[in-house]
Amino acid sequence: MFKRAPVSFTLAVLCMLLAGTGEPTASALAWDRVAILHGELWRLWTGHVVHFSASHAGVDALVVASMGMAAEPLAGSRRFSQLLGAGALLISLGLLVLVPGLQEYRGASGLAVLSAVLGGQLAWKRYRGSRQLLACAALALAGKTFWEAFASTAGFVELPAGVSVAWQAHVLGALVGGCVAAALYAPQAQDNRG
Amino acid sequence: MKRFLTLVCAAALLALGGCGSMFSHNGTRQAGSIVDYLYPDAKEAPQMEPTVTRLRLPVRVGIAFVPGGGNAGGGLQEAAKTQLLERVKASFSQYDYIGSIDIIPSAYLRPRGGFDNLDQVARMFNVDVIALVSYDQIRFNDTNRLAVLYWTVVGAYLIKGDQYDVQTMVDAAVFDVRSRKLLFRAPGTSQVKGSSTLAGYSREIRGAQADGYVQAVDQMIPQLQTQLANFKERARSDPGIQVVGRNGERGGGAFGWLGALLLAGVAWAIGRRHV
Repeated sequence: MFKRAPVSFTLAVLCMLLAGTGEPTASALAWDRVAILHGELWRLWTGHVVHFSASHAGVDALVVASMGMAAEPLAGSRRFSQLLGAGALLISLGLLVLVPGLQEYRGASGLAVLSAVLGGQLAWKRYRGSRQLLACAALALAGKTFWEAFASTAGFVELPAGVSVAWQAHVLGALVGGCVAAALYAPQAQDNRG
Repeated sequence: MKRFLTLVCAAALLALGGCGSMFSHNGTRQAGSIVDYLYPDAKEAPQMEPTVTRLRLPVRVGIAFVPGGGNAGGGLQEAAKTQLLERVKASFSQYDYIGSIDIIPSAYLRPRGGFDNLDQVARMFNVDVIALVSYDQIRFNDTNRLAVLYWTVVGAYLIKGDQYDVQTMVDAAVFDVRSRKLLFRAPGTSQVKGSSTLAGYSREIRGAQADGYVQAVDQMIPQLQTQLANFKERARSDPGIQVVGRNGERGGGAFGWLGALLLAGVAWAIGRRHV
């Protein structure tokens, strides 16, 4: 697995390791609106690798690793790591600007959705035989996000009381992943690769 | 014969006079130490990490007595603790920036539980800040000269030959649970002195000890209010303290185990077909 998707695997392991360091560390690294506006800019990235609980971290680590297994080999590890870095920043800035009510965010799921959409689109182009499966997965993911956005309740999630699902991070991750996939398959990019 | 009777009388007097020494003249102590609770195995001073304390208004506060105990008579009884904490709670209910004050029963706090136990309790009661009330009460017993009349037996019921001195100290330390920082603290002390008959000593001393706690807590409450006002001023200028409104949500990116397993299954299926 490490050979196939080293960046995703490392990210998943990092999430689990940080989950074991306790609340003070997680609190110091979380995406926190006030702290970021006070200049703690590292939180724009580190908020994506800390979680509210070990269970929360475990779920996100599993999705990051499995989606990375799909996306990373198709995009290339080096490019994928750059995409994750830029994606983390864009998701964080998006949350900062578009979700003014959000005070604190933790979780790697924004990056996981980015990987899922990127990997899904790349696989859609490359693996015609799996399109039905990909379409089902995409519908399930979109349905879950819509449910969380409009029903204001989260289904089957591992978040502690008082913490809601930041579905906006998922939408932002999907947008970034979609844009990156489109850019990778733009004619000019294909020419450069060719 | 006369000499023998004198000796018998003297011996009887000495033996009955011993009634005045029925209670230990050493001090007895009840204590719940905050240091023992939060830093049970600390051999060195705890390392403080430079973190920013963020308080979300209105603050949810928990209040609890530090677990502890005393010798002989045991520690402060749970019902008495609850009554004392109710007094503290009532005096802080008028502040609009305090959302709720929950009294946390001692059973939820493990002796020598440390910050891990504090985290558990904070999650269980959904509080951001916990005020831990530590206490230290020492009781001294002495007999006065009148105690010699206890030998008359009736004297044990009528003569106040036992004296007591109950000294109490309570201290409320308010901690932010997430950053584990001490926000402020306020002490209260009291001294209750009195005398009692031998027969009524136990009842009197229990009352004196309870009064000692009540008086100490009554002295602590205004100090706590003063410290809270000082803290409000300090929070405005201290960069290490940030106060934000609770209208801000806490959000987590999450899939749930079911979603995660489904997505992992899809990734596995695609990988198996094409790689």
